[in-house]
Amino acid sequence: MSLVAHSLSFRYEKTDPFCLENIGLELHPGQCLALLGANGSGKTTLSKLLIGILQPEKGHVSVDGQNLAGLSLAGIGEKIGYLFQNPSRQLFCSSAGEEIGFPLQFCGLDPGEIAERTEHLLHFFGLDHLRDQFPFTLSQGERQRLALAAIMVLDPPYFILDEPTTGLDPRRREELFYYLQKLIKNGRGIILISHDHCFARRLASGILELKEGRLQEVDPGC
Amino acid sequence: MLKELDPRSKFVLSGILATLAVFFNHPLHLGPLLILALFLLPLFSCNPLQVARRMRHLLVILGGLVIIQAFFYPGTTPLITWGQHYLITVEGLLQGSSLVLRLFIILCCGLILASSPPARFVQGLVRWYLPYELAYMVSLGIRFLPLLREEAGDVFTALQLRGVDLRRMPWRQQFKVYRGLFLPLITMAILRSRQIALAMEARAFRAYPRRTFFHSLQLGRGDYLTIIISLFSGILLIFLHLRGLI
Repeated sequence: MSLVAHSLSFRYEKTDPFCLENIGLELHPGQCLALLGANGSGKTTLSKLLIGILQPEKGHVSVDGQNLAGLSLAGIGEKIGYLFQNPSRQLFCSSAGEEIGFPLQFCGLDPGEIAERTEHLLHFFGLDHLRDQFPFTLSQGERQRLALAAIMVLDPPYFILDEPTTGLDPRRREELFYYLQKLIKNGRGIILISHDHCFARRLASGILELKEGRLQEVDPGC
Repeated sequence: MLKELDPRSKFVLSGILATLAVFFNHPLHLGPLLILALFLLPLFSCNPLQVARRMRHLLVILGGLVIIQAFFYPGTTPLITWGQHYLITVEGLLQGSSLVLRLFIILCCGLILASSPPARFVQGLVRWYLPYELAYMVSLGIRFLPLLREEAGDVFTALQLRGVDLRRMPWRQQFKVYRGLFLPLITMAILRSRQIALAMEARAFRAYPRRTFFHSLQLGRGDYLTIIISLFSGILLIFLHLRGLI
């Protein structure tokens, strides 16, 4: 049971040099890996490879022993929750409440349970008063929280969070920290992409750094 | 390299090519015109093969267009018959081929125009007395389209990553999902354009009635030559065609 990247190599154009080369990583349930790196080092590209949005030129990704290439995006979404770097790009409903409950409508859940799960997440992320607001009119931090709530509603075993602390105030960041810690304790695996080194080092058991297209392990203590 | 030409010369050249594409209606005329346009593209730093690769989906649609025209255009010379009925006629096939060739030529014209940086493109339009606001709107609109496409693609990806498999849904439910997405997407586009308008005004757009340009456009010898050759050949071809000589 793990999310594994097997020697991934990727480039955007055939004529370009590889922007990611021979990347291997393994994420187990109950583990958090932090992925650090400078701007443009390929963190988001790697996350898109891990979620199946981009296809590697060499290597493959498997989740719980199943090759991602054989799964549809919807199938992958049930196993891996993905927070986009820009949360506005993943919000598409006409209200915050609808945004959270949206995928549950297709899981055959009864309206009572959908409402209950939605309310719980709205409350947890402090979005109760914004339930009927159009997501695009929310502030950056509110949109970030809404996108987080929206991916957590399906309760997948793994999460890839691309800069989840962007736009969050210190109190919300701390709340998110405890929530993610709880998820890890409950056996969820998280890959955390962040520039917030302090947040990443507190939460993650392993720190990886992307440098010149290659992944290297970093001492969590330093 | 013709890429460095003034956008106004490119307007004339592509305008003449597009006019001829609309004027001619036979593959024997449109074919050479397309070859000429394809020959010109690399001179404007456009790789026709790369463009074809990017537009492979469009190629399928265009192929479909030829078939549809071949089937439905009323013709008198049958190519394939079914009993008493003409399935495909020579006229239909010629009409379909002409349509596709014409579209390709117009696409080449667009690529020639797109070889100028947006700022030069706007300045070219302004030099032809198009109000700056309008010219800038045209250029911004062109740049906005790929962004909108990318945004819609991201929303579609996000939708699937939230466990919604549209391919497995009955079409009615699919339609409901798409209908639900349509309104937020349009609203997002409107709100984004408002934000852009605000950002532009904050950066002194239209602060003064007259504006200057950092790089000023100047027609050079190459530009005059391009304009004269384009106009002369265009008018000559139309004249010869009207006289029935080609």
